[in-house]
Amino acid sequence: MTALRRLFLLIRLWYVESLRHASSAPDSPMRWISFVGYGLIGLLALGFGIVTELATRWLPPDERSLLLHTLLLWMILCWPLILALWQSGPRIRLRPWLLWPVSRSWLAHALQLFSTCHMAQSVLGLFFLGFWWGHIAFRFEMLSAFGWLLVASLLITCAQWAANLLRLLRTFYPGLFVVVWLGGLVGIGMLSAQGYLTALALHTLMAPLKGHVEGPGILLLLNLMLYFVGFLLTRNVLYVDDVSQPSLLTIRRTERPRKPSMFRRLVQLQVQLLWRHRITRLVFFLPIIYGVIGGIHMGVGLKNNALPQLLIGSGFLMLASVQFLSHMWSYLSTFADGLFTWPVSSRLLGSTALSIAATLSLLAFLTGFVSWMLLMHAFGTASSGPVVLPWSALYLYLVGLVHPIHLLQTPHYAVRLELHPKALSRGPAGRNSLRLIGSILLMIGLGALALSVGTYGWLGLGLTGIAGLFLYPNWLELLELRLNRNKYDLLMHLRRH
Amino acid sequence: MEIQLIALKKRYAATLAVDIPTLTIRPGELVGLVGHNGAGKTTLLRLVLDLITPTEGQVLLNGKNVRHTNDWKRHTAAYLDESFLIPFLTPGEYLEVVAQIYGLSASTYRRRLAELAPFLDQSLLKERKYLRDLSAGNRQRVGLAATLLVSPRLLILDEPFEHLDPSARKQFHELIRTCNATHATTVLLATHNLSEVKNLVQRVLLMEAGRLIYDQPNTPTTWKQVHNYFARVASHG
Repeated sequence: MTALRRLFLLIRLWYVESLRHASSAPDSPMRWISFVGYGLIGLLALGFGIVTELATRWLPPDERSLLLHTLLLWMILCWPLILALWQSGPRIRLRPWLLWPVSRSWLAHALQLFSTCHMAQSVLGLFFLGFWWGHIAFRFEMLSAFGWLLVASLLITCAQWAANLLRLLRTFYPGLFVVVWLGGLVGIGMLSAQGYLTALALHTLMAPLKGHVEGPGILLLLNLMLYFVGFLLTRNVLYVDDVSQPSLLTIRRTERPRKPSMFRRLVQLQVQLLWRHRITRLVFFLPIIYGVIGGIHMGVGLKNNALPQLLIGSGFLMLASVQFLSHMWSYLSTFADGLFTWPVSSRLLGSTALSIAATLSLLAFLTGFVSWMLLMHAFGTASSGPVVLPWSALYLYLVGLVHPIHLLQTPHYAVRLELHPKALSRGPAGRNSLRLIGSILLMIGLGALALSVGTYGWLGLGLTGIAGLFLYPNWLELLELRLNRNKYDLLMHLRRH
Repeated sequence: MEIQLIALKKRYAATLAVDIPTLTIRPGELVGLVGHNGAGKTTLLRLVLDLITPTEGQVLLNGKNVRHTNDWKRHTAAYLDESFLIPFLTPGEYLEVVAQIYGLSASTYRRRLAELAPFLDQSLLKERKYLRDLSAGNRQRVGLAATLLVSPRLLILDEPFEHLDPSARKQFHELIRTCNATHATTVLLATHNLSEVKNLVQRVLLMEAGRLIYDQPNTPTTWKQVHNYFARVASHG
């Protein structure tokens, strides 16, 4: 059988799998329902592309075109960042192919090419096609109009190869992925703020409309470079290595069952365990106490722009949930056993911990805000609404960035506490506690500093928080890795004793 | 097909999963690889099949490094676990795909299916269920049948009798013997169930903590020693 025929067979299988994914039997009606659903989404994307121009009718034509193209380019640049988070990649299981007479190169090519067939990519393509139809096709000469389409296609494929590279990073170097992802977001923001995005739009998407022809060549080169880097990396990771990299074969996130009932029961169990523990019951009242103290300090600090008070205020507002996070694993000693015996994934444990901490921090923030409002009202200096924004920015920062970063350190801390309760102040466990305290103080300091800078400060804080929220799936993946490592430590300890 | 392992090591963090200085399995040999859970049997099979990369050393099939060539794949068949099946195909579709991949003509495919008939009956082939919805035993049957369908020169199996009922085990024993005798197939079969391979293999390899600690032809003394080893390990806990 020739290599080409094998590739066709792979394509056929991919098609069959995408048809049968949702169905439980070969003749299931689910496939037709899926067809109709996907069709509607496609039509919506196309229609949305056609009518995009309506939203900017009030602008002069030249300005409108530049604005829309800048927006399109911004979308393309953000696309890999979004795809890398949610796109699961091609739905073809490659494991059997590794046992069969097929070379890894073919499989890597197939993976790269199938990734362009993903639904998200089709939606983007249809949106661009709609835009072309509504805005370009009938206003420019045929050559320019098709030149635009070519550039747009090259940009879309570039975004796909970049997304593939990011997904590989996410699988093999999750820490680096988080850095690159945040760096990418900051880079796009800077390009946008400095006006370079508009210049880039002029040299790429708008170039064919103005008669410039060099754009497609450069984009083609960029495409080739990104494709081959992705191809080489993909080919080199096509190995079954179930100990360190469980889900590498399809370069997609492992599908985990998401059962709301399981999540609910886990939360319920945590709350129950806390409530039945004499001392930890206090944890429920702490957010309120911290909220009152923090709220008053932060309100006054914001009003007078006083850094020390902002520091104290944000410190107290963060302490409620941060403290909860840091102690949760150790309070719930059953968690350590649970990691081995419960039919619950580490990821679910992580999401539950994050949700509970986020809820508690919300409680602290609401208490703080209400306390501050009451205080201001009592002194007759109640201020206007915009002050809500710095509070929200701080909350987003806490939930989006502080919690996940902090949570990443807790499994190790908790397992150490479980294993060596008497050695917390010295040795590796002691160093870990210091690192934990250091990171909490650093986070509080950063938050307070940003708030004291003014509008840009809290805006940055809020944006960082939102970016962190977008990265939640990856924070959880990192957490899962860490939990698994610490589970191994615990297992070794249990075997020895 | 001849298998040669040269200074082969596979390390996972601090654990040395496989450490074999040298081993040769001659063409046409039927070898049983035994050992406790976690002894490194599956890792060794994966190294031979180029499914994982060795930390050191190399695996040669007919003198060629498995990492640098693809030719050996055409003559090799393996079934390690269910994840190597295609879950969204029916049994018939799956076997057809395997036949196409290995380039079997329609007549050869039909003939070989007929040869497998006692083990893989018609009702299973006509099943309209996907592989993912079959019982573990039937999935195992389909996976094992697919390996014999291609008449390989090297057959690698991991715990092949695990989910099979007694009659299917007996039938599969026969099929392996026939394949070995007819095509001079080298068979490497990993298991922790000694009774299953006692009357099947010609040579026994015993693994412990990634190392080969015993390599003898299949004789009554061999099995006595292997049984003693397992009894000793069990008594030490």
